[in-house]
Amino acid sequence: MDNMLDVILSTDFFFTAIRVMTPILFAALACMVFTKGGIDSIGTEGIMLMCALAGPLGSYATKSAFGGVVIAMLIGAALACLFGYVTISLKSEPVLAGIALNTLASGLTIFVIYYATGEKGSTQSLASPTVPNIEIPLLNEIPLLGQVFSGHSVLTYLGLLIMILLGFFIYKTPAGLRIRSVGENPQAAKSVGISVIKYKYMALIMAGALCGLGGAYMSMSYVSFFSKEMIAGRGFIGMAAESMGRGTPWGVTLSALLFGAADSLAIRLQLLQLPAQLIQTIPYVITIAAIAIYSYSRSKQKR
Amino acid sequence: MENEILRMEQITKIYPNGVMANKEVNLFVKSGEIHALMGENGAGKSTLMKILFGIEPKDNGKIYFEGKEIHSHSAAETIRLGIGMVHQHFMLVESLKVYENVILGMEPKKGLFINKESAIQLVKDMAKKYNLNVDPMARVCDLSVGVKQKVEILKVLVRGAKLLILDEPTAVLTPQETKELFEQLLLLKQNGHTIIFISHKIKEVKQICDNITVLRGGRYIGTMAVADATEEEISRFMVGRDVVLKVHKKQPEFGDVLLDVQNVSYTNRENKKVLKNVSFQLKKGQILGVAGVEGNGQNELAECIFGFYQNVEGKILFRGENLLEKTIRDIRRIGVSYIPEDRMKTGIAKDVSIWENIVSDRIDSKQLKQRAFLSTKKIKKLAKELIQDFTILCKNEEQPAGMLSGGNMQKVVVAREFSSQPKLLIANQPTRGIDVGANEFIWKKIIEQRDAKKGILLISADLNEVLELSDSIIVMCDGEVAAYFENSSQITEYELGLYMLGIKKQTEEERRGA
Amino acid sequence: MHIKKNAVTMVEILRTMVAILCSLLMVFAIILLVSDQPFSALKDFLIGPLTSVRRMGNVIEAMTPLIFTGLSVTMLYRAGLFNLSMEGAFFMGAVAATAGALLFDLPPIINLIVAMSLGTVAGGIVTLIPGVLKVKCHANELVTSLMLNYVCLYLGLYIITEFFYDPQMNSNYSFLFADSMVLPKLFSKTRINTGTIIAFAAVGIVWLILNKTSFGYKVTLVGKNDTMAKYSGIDAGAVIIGSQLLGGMLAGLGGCVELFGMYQRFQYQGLPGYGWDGVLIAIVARYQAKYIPLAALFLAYLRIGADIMSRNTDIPFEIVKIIQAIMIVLISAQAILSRYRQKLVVKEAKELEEMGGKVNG
Repeated sequence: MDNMLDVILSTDFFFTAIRVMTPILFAALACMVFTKGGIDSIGTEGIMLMCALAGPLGSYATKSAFGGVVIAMLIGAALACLFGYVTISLKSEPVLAGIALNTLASGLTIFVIYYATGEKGSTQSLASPTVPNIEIPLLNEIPLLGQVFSGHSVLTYLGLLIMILLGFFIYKTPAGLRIRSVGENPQAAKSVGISVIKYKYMALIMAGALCGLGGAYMSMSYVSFFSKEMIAGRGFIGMAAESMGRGTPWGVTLSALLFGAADSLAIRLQLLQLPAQLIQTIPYVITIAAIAIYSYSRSKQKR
Repeated sequence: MENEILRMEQITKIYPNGVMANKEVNLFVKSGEIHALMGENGAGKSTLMKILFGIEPKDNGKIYFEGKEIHSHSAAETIRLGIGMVHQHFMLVESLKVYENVILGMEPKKGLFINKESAIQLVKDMAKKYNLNVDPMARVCDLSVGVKQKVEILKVLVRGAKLLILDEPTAVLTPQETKELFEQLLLLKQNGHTIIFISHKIKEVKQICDNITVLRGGRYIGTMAVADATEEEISRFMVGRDVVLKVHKKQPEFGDVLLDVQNVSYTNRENKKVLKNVSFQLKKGQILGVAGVEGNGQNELAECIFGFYQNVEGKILFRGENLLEKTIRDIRRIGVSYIPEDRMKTGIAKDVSIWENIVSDRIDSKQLKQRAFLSTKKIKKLAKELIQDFTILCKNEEQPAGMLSGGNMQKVVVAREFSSQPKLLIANQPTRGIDVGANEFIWKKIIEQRDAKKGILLISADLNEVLELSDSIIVMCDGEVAAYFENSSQITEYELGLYMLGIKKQTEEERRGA
Repeated sequence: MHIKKNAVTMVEILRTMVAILCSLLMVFAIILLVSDQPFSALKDFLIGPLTSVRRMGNVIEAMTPLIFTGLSVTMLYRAGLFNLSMEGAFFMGAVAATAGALLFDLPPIINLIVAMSLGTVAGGIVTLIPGVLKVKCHANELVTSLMLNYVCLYLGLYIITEFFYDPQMNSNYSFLFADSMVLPKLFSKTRINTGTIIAFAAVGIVWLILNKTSFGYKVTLVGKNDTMAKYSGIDAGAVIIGSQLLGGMLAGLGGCVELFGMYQRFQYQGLPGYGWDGVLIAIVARYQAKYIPLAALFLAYLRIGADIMSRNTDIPFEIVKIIQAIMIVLISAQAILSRYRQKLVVKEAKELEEMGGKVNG
């Protein structure tokens, strides 16, 4: 038992938790923006996967990690707009369109890397610049805290910064207010002269760019190359984290951290020969229970 | 006229389906008055307002606001001119705070951000000025209907509206809330605002309005000063019937009591008491008409009887069994059937074929089965018979019900509900929005059922329908039974109107027969 | 006047055709653009599966699990729920069947039946969960079912590694099944087995349930308009729960059939993805059981064709997924052909009016 506590309470554990949390955080923030704008977020998974490929290819082409990240964000925004076009203009059922986007991503990524590198599984052979990790001055000198919070990828810090900025944007700016109104009650927004389409696309572009960051993190920071299906459900987990965090930036971040911690725990426990897979189910079970309880109490209230 | 703020002249609107919603309608509103726009459902009030707001194009006529002709093409444009509307169904974003809803689309800024302080101050000032007691920081979803309405009024006021249109604002309010609203409206008037008050409650109109414009059947009936008009006069203007159809029926022969509604009260989700101590009896072989202006509890009454709600007080006895303790399935099984008000939402499934719609209430019946399985043959045979009996105009029984015309869609509902051999039939607006042919047909079928000793509860906002079909009539007003007439032929539409509009009310003694 | 199909169905069929055609044309264009040997690639893709008995067998083998998940999705979606846990149900079906095969030591056929029943039930329980949560708690089935897939994945892998892990294998594979647990092969030179027969039997049963029982009728009605169903006296909650249970059982059975038909031991390391394929199958078949085999055959054919093409040429197999994606979007896009639809509807209404005129006159 002592042994187990040691493993859990190590700085490594917390460091890994933050590392694992980062892509989920981006996904969850993207889902949050989608949901605020009244857009179905099931396509997050696929957009992230395509962006995960766009990142290394972009950084290889531009010879800079920054270029790669920007290209991933652009591709993400473009794909989100495509999703918007298909669901808003072509009137596709959003869930089906999202499934289609995910299917497209898993096929197209392999197709593209094959033609870009000649390989079928990953972009390992491509020497693409990656996003550096940074030590935070002063913080890294504090024992324990420094080991946990310093030395992460630039994107991790960027993610946390964006989380805070996004909070301001959504809750404090006119555009944020309008996005929320368009997402929740387009009729009401329209009745005071707000363009529903304009703010929907604004939300789509922002959420798409966030997916881009999440994807880029996976292939340019978490590991240094793209490999097939590397998002592995993080987009879906983002949806759940958004739902469990009730759509607030801090709630969403804490939910993402829960997934990160559980994953990190599972990695640790494998070292101890404990049933890691069982531990891995925990955040999913908690999510299902939380959503069920929340929905139940809300439906009671309405009665 | 110099003090005229709005002048709508000779407005005509014909919808693409040929319905003339407005025919040469005039509306002249003086600056600083509260002007009532009255008329029954379908009189053309909302069409007129939609035209004013540029939501619907007009076919003819002219609109002047403050002396200038306007050609508005969107709500936003009309708002900019200084006209604001409080919709009956609120246009609020529920999860946002009050002040956010109020400033939506015209947010005061401080740098990149919304200037929250000045926004809240703006709301507070406005609220204080017009005595609209609202907490700017409250979430809209936590507010009562009355307060939500205040938020809507604030929204209109901060947008600089000189002319406010309130679409049946009291329909959703409790008496206390109504009283409060009226005080606020008078305060607005004092401050120089002009108000168009859409309503069909004469008492309320008498209380606060200066002038009245009445529409009926899409036509302009007239404008008069409230001070000069008696309630009876207004009622005579508003209520009238265009006798399109007449019906011939035998003298009724009433049998035993079939349905006995005892002291039924129901409070809806918005916490409004929509049924108050309703009692009446319906006998075999009787068509009991429920007259009333829409929204006075008739629909809720029908749905209470048919098992739609929980938490209904009182008793509804059908041949000795209390329907309030039963599910819809059981209620159907013991011989009650129901033609619902909203056929598109409740009456049919529009993507599903006619035959599937026709058997939805009896799909478990043995008669439709061949051993354990459904017999498509038997079902379709039944469907074909009913299509023929009820002269449903369709390609074949496979056609999706949603593709039919309104009248034929309603015939599908009627075919299902009549063919299940009910002992009691509740018909809620059975002929709304359908063509004359189908209307006549459904009436005929209803009378056939009565003559076969069935009981029929007929709820209708169409006065002609109630008076022509019913043997006896109850009038509902404000969730109560306002009057009962054993013999419908003894009552005139004028008299009925007085009860419907709440000008008169029978005493309990007089109602006893019900 | 006696055209059987109505305008709406016609447009839907047409839209499906257009979608298939468009997606194939787009893919042909891609092949022509990127391939060095486009014509041999196209030939492999289009007629490759017909060139040998073994390949034709491959198509049938690939079709079998797709039939099950297609049926599963049909059942789940007919009730109007976007329950995506058929993926987890398929996987758990295979896990439970593994447990059944390795735990018990029953007479051959009985053991197989027990194992497959276990898998079927396990699948049913999986999809039941989002259904019950939807009905009882009003929880959005989309998110709960997606999360549930991961619970299934990790729980399943845990069960396999903890109890049935074969230490002689490098990966987390289970022990070998007894020979009697393998579904008998039907033809030499192929791996087509009795599982395919079970699949067709399942098509028959689902068709029967949906078209010939009052339960199936109710499922459709609840899915199309639950207000109307409730008003008709139908217990919508029970119907939803029943349909979700059945849908999962179909996926679970699919997992068993795939496991005992194609493998000798449990060797999935992740969710196999047949559930997602089921979505495409179901919408191509317009949620009708009788068209499911055709839709499954179509997708299986594309897959085997693409597989052959990827072996012989420079076009990767994943091109199939691009076709799948385009098809899903186009088929579900209501706006496509909506003008044509409107025209047909108006025309139909006019015809009826004339008919009515004659009747009245």
